[in-house]
Amino acid sequence: MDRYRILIVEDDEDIVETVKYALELRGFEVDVAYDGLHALRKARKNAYDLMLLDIMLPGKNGYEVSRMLKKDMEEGRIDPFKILVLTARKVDSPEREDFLATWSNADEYMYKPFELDDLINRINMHLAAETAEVN
Amino acid sequence: MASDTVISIGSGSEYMASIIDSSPVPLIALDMSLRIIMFNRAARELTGFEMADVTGCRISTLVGFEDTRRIIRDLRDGGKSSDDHMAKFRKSGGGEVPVRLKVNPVMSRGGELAGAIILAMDLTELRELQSKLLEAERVAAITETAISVNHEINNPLCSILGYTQLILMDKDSLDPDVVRKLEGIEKQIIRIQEIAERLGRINRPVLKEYVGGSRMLDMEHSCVEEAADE
Repeated sequence: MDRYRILIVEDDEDIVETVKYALELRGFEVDVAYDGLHALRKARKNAYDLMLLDIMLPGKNGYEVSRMLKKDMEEGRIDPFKILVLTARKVDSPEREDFLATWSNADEYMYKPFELDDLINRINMHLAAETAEVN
Repeated sequence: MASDTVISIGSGSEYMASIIDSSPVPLIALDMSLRIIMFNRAARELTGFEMADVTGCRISTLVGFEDTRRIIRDLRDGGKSSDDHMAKFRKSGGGEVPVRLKVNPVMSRGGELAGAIILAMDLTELRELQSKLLEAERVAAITETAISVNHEINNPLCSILGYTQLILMDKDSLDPDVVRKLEGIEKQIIRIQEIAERLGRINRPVLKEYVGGSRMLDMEHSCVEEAADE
């Protein structure tokens, strides 16, 4: 069976290293983009099952990247995949947080620092849901 | 008719005195000895002094030493109108009111300095607004700093927690004492995370005393949950 492919979009190399290592240890195939524009380019060129997306990125921020890719998916330009946003802080109000979550159209938000086991559980949950949707 | 109105008020000088007394701008007239010879209604309302309280008194009854010196300097300035300056009027019941003063020399027909008329602007409301603005800026600065610290701490915390958990993945092959220490690190990371989380929620900064006379944020009382909309 093919391994699930995950794209980590994160500009902090240490976070990339820990998450990449933990994911590879569990059998995922991992690719990395260090800024928003590279993330868009990679996601439009390659097929992924899930994207881990930071918000504060050079180039385009995570909200924009998520919104653009979800639009691509809706309009059939790329195959759909889940987007799990990893953010270092909650925004200043619940209303703004709701607005950005809706606007970016991402599937879930997780807040840093997170436990690797929690992250992997969330990833597995999304991938299981995605598989169920396809079937 | 207008002329009837003037006649009904009285003579020309009474009419002028009435206009000055009715001016919404506090006006104080001084003679050459800086004694108060006129103190209009707005000035009385501003300070709480009655005409009889101040008439014949020197201006230093109303303002402090430095402000009195400034008024004298303005008058000695070749008879030219002075720039505005900030001062404080004493109030009759105690306390002070912040004012902006304009000291205008009054010249005699012969062109000599005969006294002065002082126009005062009440700055109480302006000072209150400035104080509120400063407080709002202080709150914004503390809140922005707290949010920035929250953000900047969470990224390195994420790496430290990640590395710690990566090492702990092989805990069976590690010395139990090392495992215990790593788990201690993990626990403290979670603690810092909770502090950072609270920092990010600060919206009404409250300070409390710290050692050595300095102050620190009272984290417990600085995060006010907004009431949910009905």
